[in-house]
Amino acid sequence: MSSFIFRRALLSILTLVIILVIVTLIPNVAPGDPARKIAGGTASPERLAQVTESLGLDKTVPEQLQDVFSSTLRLDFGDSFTKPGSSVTDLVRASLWNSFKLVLFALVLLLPLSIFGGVVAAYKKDSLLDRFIVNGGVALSSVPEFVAGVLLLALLAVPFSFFRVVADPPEGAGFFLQLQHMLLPALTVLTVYFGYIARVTRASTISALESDFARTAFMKGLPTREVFGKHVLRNSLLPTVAVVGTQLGYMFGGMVGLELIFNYPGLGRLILDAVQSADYPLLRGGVLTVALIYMVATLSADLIIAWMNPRARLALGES
Amino acid sequence: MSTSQIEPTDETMTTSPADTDTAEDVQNSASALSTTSSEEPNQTRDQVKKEQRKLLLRSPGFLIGVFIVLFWVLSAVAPDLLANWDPKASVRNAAGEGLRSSPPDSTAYLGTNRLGFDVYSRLIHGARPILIAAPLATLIATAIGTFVGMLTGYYRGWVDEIISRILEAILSIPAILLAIVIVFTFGQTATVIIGTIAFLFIPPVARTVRAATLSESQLDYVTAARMRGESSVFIITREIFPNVIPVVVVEVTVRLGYAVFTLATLAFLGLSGGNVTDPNWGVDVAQNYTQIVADVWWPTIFPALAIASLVIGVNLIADSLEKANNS
Repeated sequence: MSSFIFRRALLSILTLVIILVIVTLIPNVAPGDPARKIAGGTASPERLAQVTESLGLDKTVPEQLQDVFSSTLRLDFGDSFTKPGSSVTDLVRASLWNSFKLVLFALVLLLPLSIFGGVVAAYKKDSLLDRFIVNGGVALSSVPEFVAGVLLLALLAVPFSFFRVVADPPEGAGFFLQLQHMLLPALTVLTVYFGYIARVTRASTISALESDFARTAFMKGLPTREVFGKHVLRNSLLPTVAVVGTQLGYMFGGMVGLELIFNYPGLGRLILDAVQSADYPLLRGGVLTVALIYMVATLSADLIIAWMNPRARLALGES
Repeated sequence: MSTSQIEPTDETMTTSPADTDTAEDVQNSASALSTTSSEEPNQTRDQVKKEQRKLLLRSPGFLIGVFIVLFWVLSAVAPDLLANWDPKASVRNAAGEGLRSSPPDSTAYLGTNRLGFDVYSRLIHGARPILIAAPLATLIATAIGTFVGMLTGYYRGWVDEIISRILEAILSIPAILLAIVIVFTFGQTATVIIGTIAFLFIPPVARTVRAATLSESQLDYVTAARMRGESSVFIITREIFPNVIPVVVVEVTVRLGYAVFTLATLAFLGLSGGNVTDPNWGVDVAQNYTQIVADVWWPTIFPALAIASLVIGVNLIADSLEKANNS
């Protein structure tokens, strides 16, 4: 078990290193002069040289990599180019907190509903309800979030003024006002992910229901509720946990369109803004954060699975 | 969001109650294939293929998907057949007045946007850019990804180890983020956008094909070919590749869905490789969504539905192909 964690952690670090190398190489291979892009066309040669230096483009690629790695190890990502005076760490932290709030709220809505939907679909397999959940959910889950977002905007925000169009609440808003503002984007996440998670839960619940232990539990007269609670769900939720783990990175950093529509200052927006203004330190910090979230999420998903199912421990240890 | 690893096995039997006999036949012949491959492999294989095709043509999901995709293909090939207005010119009513943000009526079937352009005609003309870019990017990614996946899956070793780590690293960042970064740095042209999506889809294709190749190369027929002294090139291209094709076909359709998804999202974020007035679904949504709250919903919702229909159509086909493969 500990060797499995060690191996997984090592692989995660290796992945982060590769990502850091890729992100560092980007300004070097970019066509044109990134320094001129940042400083503006009318910048003085001194200013241009200054920007080039702060980008590290006056150095060779190995020197740049060395700089980036040593500063990353010190957790010092430098200052943002476009917002002078604010450190990348502070900016990323603010966006990360925003993304975290939205993802948490969305998951609180999403997980109970989609797991329940999946279990019901499995229990009533091949019924009309099952087909509705599976087909409808799968269709919705393949649609880009910004499409789901504008559809919900038209369906909910226009007729009902309860739904707020801007997800970013005013300064000092209370807990419930914040939730009210985040409701539409959270519902969009629900729309997009419901079918996906319900389908995974359904498939694993069906195979758990068909297993000998479930049949035995039913045959010895246990009530349905108990069979599910004690025997079926424990096994069938494993793939669901794994899937949620792999999707967390996307939920934090990939929903750029959603954050744009509802004007929400999350990690996706941060990275989009950083790219648009060629703010490479900010970009590096943002991308690294998203990758880190993905690593931690998939690793914890694997650990939860190992904890829930002793059999998986062996399988995971081997892979 | 690839569901391939967790694909429910029970779904093969759920097409419709009337189909059970066919499904069983397929199951039987499929198991016959694996046990009696030495006897009459070609005959059984053809039979399986025939049954799979029958199953496919009876599946409503597949037919709906094909219908939707064909409609958009027709729009892309011959937009003037369907569209009744110039997508980049203002619609004028009988009195010759320009109509701006006018709701759907008999002049403009789906209304006009705030520039006075016909939403319906822009919808029809908007099929072309995405139906050129998405298949092109998918094909490039599939070709390279299949090549990489087969080589790494067959030879394994340290090269496989290194390539797999790099692919994994790329997969750990949401594709859309990397796409934004790459397109912005290399320039917002159609070529760069197609190349970027092709590049980003190599890792998932390679991973799938690698897994398929790995499990194929452990089967007896590969060992037999090795014992016959066949060259690696022969084994990979003539023995393993034909058996990996079904996986590749499913992967192509799945990736095509994601390509449409990613292209539309990029266009929505302002990376379309074209002009703002060019008909493009994602761009149209981005240009008009702020007007939804003013109850001018048609210039946004129709292109949004167009994107949704194309992604769903492609995914319906992918799903049915995957089911047919697994049956």
